[in-house]
Amino acid sequence: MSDKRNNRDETVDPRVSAAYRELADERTPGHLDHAVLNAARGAAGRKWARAVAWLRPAAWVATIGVCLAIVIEIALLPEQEPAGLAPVSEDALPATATKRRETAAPQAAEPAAARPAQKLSRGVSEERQGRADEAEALNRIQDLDTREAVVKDETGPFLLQSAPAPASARDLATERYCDESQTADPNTWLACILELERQGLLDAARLERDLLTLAFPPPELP
Amino acid sequence: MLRYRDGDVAAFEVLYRRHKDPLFRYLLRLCRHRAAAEDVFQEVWGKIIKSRDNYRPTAKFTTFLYHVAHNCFIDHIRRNKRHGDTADIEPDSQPHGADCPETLVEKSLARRRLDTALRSLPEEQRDVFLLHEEAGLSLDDIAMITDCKRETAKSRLRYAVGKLRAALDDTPETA
Repeated sequence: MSDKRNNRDETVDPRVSAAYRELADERTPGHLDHAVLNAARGAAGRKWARAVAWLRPAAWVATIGVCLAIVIEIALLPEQEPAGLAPVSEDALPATATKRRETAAPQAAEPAAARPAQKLSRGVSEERQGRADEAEALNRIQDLDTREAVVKDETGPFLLQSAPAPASARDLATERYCDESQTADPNTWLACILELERQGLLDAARLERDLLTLAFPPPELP
Repeated sequence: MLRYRDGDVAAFEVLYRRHKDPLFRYLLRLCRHRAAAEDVFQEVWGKIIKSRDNYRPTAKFTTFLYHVAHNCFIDHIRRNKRHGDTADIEPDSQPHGADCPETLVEKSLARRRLDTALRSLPEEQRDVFLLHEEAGLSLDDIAMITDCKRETAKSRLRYAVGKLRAALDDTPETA
């Protein structure tokens, strides 16, 4: 007990403690207070920010995803092709058309493989459009033949002079832009038509297309 | 500290104002350089702030705080080889209260002797004495912080108090 008291007395001296209290009266500098408290406030703020930190990357991911979806959707859009065209083999097309298709092929290949149903429906609609064009061309040709017969049989030059438009159409029909070697095969004929369209001869191309449709009617769909 | 961990900054301010001055004096006497003490002080509180998420109230906050401070001081010593070369803490020479000139002179001399004796203490003894005086820690806590046995801490404190008492009495004593 006495040893314990002695130890206690040796480790604690009120006079030394009091002297030390008088000596040690330094205060923390104000700039340290500001620095520490600001750090504490900042860390508390960062904790809240860390809790919602997932919002920013999530927003970025969502934005990028939407952009990708838009780009893919645009890439998958069907190409605008001239209505009423029959399927054409690649070797029958003009060089420019073949080249254009080749450039478009990488973009269209994947969508075509991805969405066969869409392609099928597009083919059906093109077929219907082709049939409508065919009927219209038949009507136009029949109308031309009828007027020509009237001119020949009855009034002669009078009607011929009073109806110049059918005469010019007939001239277009007789003045062929695609020669016989091209019209022998539908593919070469269509290549010729495409070339006419490319050169800006739209009337001639339309007439040749009508004649092509008459000569080679598209097959009936089941 | 638990309230601060949950986002209560005001709780941290209370904690900081309660402990800042004793901790600063502890580091000032240990480092013996004001600039170094300020650096270590900021480092200590920075670590306290960073460790708030992992803080577990297994011991008193005072023990935790001075444990961190002790380790930061050790790191500071390892980083800075200049430690112990010179001291730039000047004892406060301003008069306190309304004592008579003779008393003021005597107190000033005693303070100067105590300060000199405190600076001349071995680092381990000064550390233990400061933990005892500034933090009010028990010998068990001091032993835990300084990573030694309780008896070793007690012995260091006994030697430190004896030397300081001798300095106050102006009677030389050998450890």
